[in-house]
Amino acid sequence: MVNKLNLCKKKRGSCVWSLLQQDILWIVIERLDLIDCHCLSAVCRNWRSACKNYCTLRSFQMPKDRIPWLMLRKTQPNSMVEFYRPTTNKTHKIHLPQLFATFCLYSKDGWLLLRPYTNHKFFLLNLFTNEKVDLPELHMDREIFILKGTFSTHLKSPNCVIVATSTTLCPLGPTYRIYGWTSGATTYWKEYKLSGPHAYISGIWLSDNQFYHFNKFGTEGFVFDMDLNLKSSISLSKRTNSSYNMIVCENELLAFSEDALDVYRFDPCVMDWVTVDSRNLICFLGKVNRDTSFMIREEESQVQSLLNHFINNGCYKERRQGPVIFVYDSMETPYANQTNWINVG
Amino acid sequence: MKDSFNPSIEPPKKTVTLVSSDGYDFEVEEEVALESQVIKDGFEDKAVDDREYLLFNVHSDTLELIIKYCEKHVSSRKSISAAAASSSSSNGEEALKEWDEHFISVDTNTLYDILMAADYLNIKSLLDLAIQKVADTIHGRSPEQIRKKFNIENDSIIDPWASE
Repeated sequence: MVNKLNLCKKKRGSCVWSLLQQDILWIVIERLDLIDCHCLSAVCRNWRSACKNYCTLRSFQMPKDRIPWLMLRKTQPNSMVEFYRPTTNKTHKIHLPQLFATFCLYSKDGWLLLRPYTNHKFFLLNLFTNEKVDLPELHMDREIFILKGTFSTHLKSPNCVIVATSTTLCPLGPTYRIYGWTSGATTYWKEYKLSGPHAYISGIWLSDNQFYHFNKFGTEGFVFDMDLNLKSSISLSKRTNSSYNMIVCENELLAFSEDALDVYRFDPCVMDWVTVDSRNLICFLGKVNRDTSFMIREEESQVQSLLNHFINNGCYKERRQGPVIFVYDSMETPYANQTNWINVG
Repeated sequence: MKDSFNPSIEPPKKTVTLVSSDGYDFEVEEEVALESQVIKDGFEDKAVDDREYLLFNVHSDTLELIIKYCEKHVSSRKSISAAAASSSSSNGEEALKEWDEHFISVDTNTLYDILMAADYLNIKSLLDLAIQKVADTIHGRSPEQIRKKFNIENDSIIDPWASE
């Protein structure tokens, strides 16, 4: 059927790919995640502009990593951010000006809760879709110290943010306040002031439209709805006092003692801590910023190679008395504040 | 006379002539050519003796591959639906997937030609296949590795990582 007499090879320029039409590049980008797309955008001018145009129109695929990424911002004051992605054992540098001069309080599903150094205009930023949610400014005086922040997501979109604060210097001891924002409330934060001589916030947790915090001695916990109405106080059988670390592990709240011998999970059904098996638990601990720490449960066979990856990337591991493995981020001061574990969902 | 009496005599298959950019004629069965949405659109309006398509953007090397792809897909579809009709088990779709994978395992120059031709002729499944191959090639590679793979020169004067 083929009336071909001979094969003649076409001559072509070397750079046909760089001239690829943008609409085709867009379909390619559609199938890439953020990291691949950032690599693609660095290839040449045409590809870069295709990426840029795409970003303003649509969003990226979200990665589905269980293991948190390590975010390093050691190159301050410029806005390059380094991400170490453990599942691929690769480091990526990404230009993210929005992250410039901010603290990261918490992360979930690729979203970061950020606070600028100089004010209290908190915002949420999605690393993968570039979506930004500006939260109303928290009007506070200078003596207020931001203790912790957390947020929950509904269908991968943030729906509630909680920020816990305390006063620093106060003759009668610090005053603790909790601020809550729910999506839709554009202009205000709900406020709740902790009262009583034992007021203290040792751990906070948002789950299933409930907010929990625990007191200093680990004897009592408090449950709020999303509008910061106190619903109940609960008495706890385990003494998860302020020396315990409370860290989220795959949508559950775990608390462990300093020696890691006692590990508990908070069970919202019985409203109390229950003992859990702490084997195969890996805790990714921020050396300075404990609030962006995460835990995962990993198959024993995977643990060693994973740990080797982290150690090769400058992290170090620690075993305490219990079987939990701790992985520390490695950044030295003055950059330690700029290192966070990031939950990408 | 029914066909079954003399299976060697079949009704002549309707054909279409595709002409490549470098002037070669390819005579293909109608249903193979109709894999292209561009040919399908307005096909009925064309006179039967005028079913010739000049494909200015498709070189004969590429057209040969495209026809090979379309023929395979037409025949696979038939055998898959035949298997479904007789409710016999068939791994036709799996086999076709494997065939596709092998088909698209080409050097990046050929991949570019296939991609462009699939886009020009609007053959959705082939365009899909080629684009996925591009995405897979990019996946996990650094910018420099991507450039090397696709033979692209770095034309950025500015450092792409630097702030603007």
